[in-house]
Amino acid sequence: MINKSRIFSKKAGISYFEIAILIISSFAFCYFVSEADKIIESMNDSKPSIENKSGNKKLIMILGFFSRWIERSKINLVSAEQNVSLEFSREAVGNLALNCCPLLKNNAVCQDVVNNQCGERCAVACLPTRCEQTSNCQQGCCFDSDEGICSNSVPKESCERNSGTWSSDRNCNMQECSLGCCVLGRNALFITETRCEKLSVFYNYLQDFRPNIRTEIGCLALSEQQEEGACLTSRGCKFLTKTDCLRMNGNANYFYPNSLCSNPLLNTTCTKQNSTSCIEGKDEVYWIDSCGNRENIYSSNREESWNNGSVLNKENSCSSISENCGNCNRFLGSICGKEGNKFACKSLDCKNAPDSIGKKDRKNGESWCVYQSYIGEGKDVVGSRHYKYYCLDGEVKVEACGDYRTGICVENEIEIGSGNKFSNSACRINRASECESYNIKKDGEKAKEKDDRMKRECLENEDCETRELNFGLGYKFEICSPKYPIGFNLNSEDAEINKKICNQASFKCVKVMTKKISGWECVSGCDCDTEKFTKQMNEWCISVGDCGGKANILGEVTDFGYSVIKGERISLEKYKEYAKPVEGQRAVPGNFSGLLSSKYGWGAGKGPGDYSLEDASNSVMLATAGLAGTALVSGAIAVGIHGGISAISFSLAGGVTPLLSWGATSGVFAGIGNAAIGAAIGAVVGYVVAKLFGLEGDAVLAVVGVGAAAGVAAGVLASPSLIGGGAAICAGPHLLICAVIALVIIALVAGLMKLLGIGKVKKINVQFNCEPWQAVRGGENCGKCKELNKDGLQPCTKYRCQSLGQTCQLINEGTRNEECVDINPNDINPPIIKPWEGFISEGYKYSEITDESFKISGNNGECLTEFSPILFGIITNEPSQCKMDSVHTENLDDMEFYFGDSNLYKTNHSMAFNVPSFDAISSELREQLEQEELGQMDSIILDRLGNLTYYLRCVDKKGNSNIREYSIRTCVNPGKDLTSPYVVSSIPVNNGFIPMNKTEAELKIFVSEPANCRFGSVDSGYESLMNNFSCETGLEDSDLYGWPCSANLTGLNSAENKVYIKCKDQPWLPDENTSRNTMQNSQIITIKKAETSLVIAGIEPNATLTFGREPTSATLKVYTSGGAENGKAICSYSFSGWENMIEMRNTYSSQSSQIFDMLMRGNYNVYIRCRDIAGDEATGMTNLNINIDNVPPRIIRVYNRQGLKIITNEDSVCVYTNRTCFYNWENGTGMTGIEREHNFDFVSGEKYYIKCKDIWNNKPDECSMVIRAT
Amino acid sequence: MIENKRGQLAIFIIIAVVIAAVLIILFYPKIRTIVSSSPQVRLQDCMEDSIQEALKNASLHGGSMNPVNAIYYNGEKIEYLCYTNQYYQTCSIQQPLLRQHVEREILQFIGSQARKCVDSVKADLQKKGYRVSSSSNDVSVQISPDNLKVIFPGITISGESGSENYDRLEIKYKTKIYDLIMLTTSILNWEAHYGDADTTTYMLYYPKIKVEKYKQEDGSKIYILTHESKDKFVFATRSLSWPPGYGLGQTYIPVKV
Repeated sequence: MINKSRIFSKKAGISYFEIAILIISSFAFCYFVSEADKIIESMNDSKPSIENKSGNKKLIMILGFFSRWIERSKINLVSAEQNVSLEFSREAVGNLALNCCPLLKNNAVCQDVVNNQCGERCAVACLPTRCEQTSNCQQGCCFDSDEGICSNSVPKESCERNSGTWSSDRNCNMQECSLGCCVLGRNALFITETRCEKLSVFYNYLQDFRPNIRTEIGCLALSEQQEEGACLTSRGCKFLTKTDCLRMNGNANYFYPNSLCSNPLLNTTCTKQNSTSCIEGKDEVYWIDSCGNRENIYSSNREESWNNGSVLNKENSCSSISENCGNCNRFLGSICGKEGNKFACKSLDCKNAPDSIGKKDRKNGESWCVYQSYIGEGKDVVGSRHYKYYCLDGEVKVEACGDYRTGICVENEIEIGSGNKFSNSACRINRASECESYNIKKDGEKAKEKDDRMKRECLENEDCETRELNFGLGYKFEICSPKYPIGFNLNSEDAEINKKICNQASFKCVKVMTKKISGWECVSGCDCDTEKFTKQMNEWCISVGDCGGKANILGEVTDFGYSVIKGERISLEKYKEYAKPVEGQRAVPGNFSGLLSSKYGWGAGKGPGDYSLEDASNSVMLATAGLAGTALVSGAIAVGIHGGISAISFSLAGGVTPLLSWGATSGVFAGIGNAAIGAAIGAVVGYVVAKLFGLEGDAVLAVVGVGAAAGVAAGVLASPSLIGGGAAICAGPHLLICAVIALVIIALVAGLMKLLGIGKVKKINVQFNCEPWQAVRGGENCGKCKELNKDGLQPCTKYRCQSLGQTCQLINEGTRNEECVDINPNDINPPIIKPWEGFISEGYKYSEITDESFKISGNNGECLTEFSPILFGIITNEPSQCKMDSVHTENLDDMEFYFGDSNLYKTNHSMAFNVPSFDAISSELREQLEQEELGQMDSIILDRLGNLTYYLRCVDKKGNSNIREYSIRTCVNPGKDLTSPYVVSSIPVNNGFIPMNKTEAELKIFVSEPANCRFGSVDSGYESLMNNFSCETGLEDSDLYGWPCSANLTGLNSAENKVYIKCKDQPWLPDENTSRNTMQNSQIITIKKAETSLVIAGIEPNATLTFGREPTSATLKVYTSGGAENGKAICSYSFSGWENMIEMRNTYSSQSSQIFDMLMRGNYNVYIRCRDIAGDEATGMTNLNINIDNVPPRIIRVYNRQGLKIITNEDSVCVYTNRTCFYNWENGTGMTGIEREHNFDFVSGEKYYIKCKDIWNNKPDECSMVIRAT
Repeated sequence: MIENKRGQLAIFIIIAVVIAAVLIILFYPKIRTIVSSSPQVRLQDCMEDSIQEALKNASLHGGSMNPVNAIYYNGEKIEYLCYTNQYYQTCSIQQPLLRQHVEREILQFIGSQARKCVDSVKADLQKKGYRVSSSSNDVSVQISPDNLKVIFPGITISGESGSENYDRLEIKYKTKIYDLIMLTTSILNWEAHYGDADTTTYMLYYPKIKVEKYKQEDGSKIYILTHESKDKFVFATRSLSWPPGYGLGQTYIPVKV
């Protein structure tokens, strides 16, 4: 029997205490053992110097990091250098104020120029609008009535000044410009009717214009089908076409179709097959008779080729191409030519034509791509270009695709029998610029929707590919990147812009580690600080453009194009291989049917195969993509840091409720139930205690676990049945004591965990910076630019020259003496560094300036204030690249950071300081460092802040760098932080809009220093504001604009919703600590909502439209109203559905319009979507029916009633003559009447030849009807 | 004896030939003058070099003698016939009615020489005692298929034996520039509409003309059309150009001449 009084005696209490100590000490023993190992390891590795102690190194790293953070944040500071802002929005593009200059100083007419360039570039006064909005510079169709030629896209004034006839249809979709087939003797030309008339007169032919032949190839084929034969004249026999014979003889009576002049039946003096010859305009070798007339195609089988004096057409002639047969074919690679004194089929094929690798025989007409390096996968090397080679008439010719890889060469092969292939290639635009834009999340898009859309759009664009990035838990995502990176202008003038492009692929990866009982363990981003991360990032970086570490066209690799902080650098050896082309590698043409379908409404097989990218919106989209990297960063960080803790919280919450719902009635179940309830209670209690101690992660779990165990113990003690019956020990009046004991145990365990540091979180911020690629220093290889032109078809270009070395430049451009040379061959002097006088934040100055250093201090010599950004700079006497470090180094390449976070070669270099306070640094380090590292930390921090020195070196393009370091010294005020924080920026911006139907929005603000922030809908003191932001407070957690805080706003019901924000700095201190500075005045962010929703008020046209020819033009107009800005919206359209919408040409207003100039007949559904600034959307649809009337009117009734009456089937005008059907319209006599009724007076017995034409000028080739009036 | 006679004969023949040759040499200019006294022929001779030079200048520089809106290529200034200073935009045609423009340029170039030639012919005729009158001094140039015509106003030549009236005097110079100009117009239309033109197709359709296209660094293109008769026409376009990089912040390029 258990004696209850002994259980609760003093002795018993001591025993319990000793048991607890034993339990705890076992944990402590393990901990001390493991930490001892670490100390031993670190002692073995470290040198006995204060520089290398972990705490000092961390301080150095933190201080170094600030520079980089501040460099990025200098967007908010006045900078004299940068003219291009990252915030390059659509509105900014629209507001560039392009004005129309009717005449530039260089004589170019009607050009849009930026308004501040008018004085410099325009010869006359600029007009305050774009050229297409003016009357004189509006582009249209210019008709030359003399030649019968139409020119499209001609400014009105220019056309009329040259006596042309102008019309507003820019694409000349007019009847006068209709092309048809004009037969001129043996030739046929695809021209307008007016031109046919002119040429017929010139060559003295009867006009023979065939409007029904609507293709050039059809017209050319017609020329081959002209009926030929023997034409007997007074001077003998001539082999001519019927038309020519008619012209010669005046009639066709002496024309013998399909007969040769040597035909014995004609009784001519011409004898057959006298010789052979080539004939102008013909590919084949022909027999010639003794009169000099052409006969049939030569064959050694004379009888067969003579064909009894009849014409033998090409298809039935001999077919083998040999010296025995003259049936040459240009398109198949041969043509008549003289070899010695014989005529034979000469091969037009190209033997040993150059290819990307080696040589290959090519057929006449074949075209193929030649590449200078590996292509695709983002690996095209710097300086490379794509070329289209083609074989024509035995010669290999070249067409270079757009330089800087703005154009790529695409190729496909077709089988032509016997295993032979025929290549066809073309240069087309590289759509790389669209790839990065697919990564941008659209308003209202959820993460999964965004991923699906990105993948779909990326795969649809043949020039893009998806790329998986995986750096461990929390960092697995896919992005869309270009296959063929676009090249950059490597000159300094574009350097800053190139930097912004490359920075898209900069990325911060946070490796989060928590301290567990077993030691530090990585919970997310585990590969961030490994080569795997750097390798993947560099692959992404090089695909964006000429960025990152990669090779040039010579295979020279440089790694100046990327930097990785706290990560591993990689070897770039394998990138040298990419400078060599790979056999068989080709870029594919791509399927543009989707694009053409949605943009032009073309179905498969309709319309010509050309396209043009009229929208400049690609460039605009990219402008905002600079923030894409940031978005990814913040998203990934959220997962990385909070993921682990969220998981724990979830399991906790999930665990509690179900258990609490248990009820138990029976004894056993009661026991189990009690135990369960006890565990639940213990868990909740444990959680509360853990929070009191500020523990996180494993520490929470451990405490909860203990709490649960303690709860179970208490529960068990309270449950008699589980212990083998008997009364529950902890039941009744003893329950309180049991609870106290449980609490004591829990508190003891919690305290122990705290001491051991279990649950501490350590973050390693690994930063990969993608920078513009830099050529090797110097100019040793400039001369190789010409050598790379092996086959003489790839001359040196500026881009290729610049890629060969920093000092390589193409001189004498545009002359016959173009050459790539080293422009600084004799430069041996390193750059001279000086402070940038006049460029420093107000209140500060450069002092103690020597040739080797200077100091930055306040105007009165005081130190810098903490958390106060200061902009300053240095200048060099020649363009140079500068690097810095906070410790001494042997040479420039050993230095860790680029000055001003820029690897560019320039003369003016700027940078910003924003040093945190002593308290901030101290607090941060205490969290990060181990216990033994904390000693002397405060004095080290103070010492450092009082004497901050950065060491600097610069190198010029020739490679000359400073041997001795240049130093920049400053100090930070070690006193108290007296400055309150402020809000730097917000998303959405102040007075931003949210959609009308939304009442919630996410608000993100960026604060100037680590802080806690709160907000409310009423302006009040910080303490009174009830809602908290979730803020990043680690010193290295700063984002582009500062330390981010986010919150979800709810209850946004009004048109204007004001949010009052206040922040308090020094978040590492307790809330009530009086040394914390609070914002006095609230930052107010106003979130607006539209009062009415955006609607599409009208769409035009919505009907059947009839035109006389196709393709034709029509203008789509969309009217919008309501919404945030009274109908102002961006409207997009598509012919193929709600996907792949294309922005309308004229939009961002309440009336949007788009001209379709390539419409074919058919029924089109046009889908329209409009979106305003608040994100409100309106959709609509219209049906467009295009009808083409290209058939001449028909006469459907003729009758006699006071004159001859004619009824046509459509509105028309009619003329008549009594001579022949073959007359020009102008020579006919017009009939009276309107619309479909026409009449004229006739003479009985006369024959009348009538022609009618409709409003589209459709008229018959001959006549509509021949009438004999009786 | 016979040999002596043969020898004599030979000498006489030789002397006769020599005398004839001397006479020809002495009187050749007069003979030539008689043969070429037609004013048309005189003008043709006088204008030949000038026309050739004018044609060469115009055709190698995009149709203008001194192009201003031009780009340098191989040391020559080539005029932009279709141009935009923007990126991503198709060009607008700078010289619509190109044939007429070339005619004007050639006329401007040969104008003074033409007047000199006319004056020279008139003076010669007047020296010979003829009276020469002309309706006007206007000269015109016409480019047509196969040739270039320079048309002078009509003159009337009157003398003792009567008068001769020429309605107009026409000089023809064989050239294929008309075909090249027409092909150029077609290429310009494609450039203005689509931003590019395919050279291979043109060469397959018109085998007598070679079409070469050279893309420049700033997106400009130089077209060189060469007829099998060796006549050439060279011009430049700038249409639908893509800037290097992504063109952020760029909507135009500096003018380059």
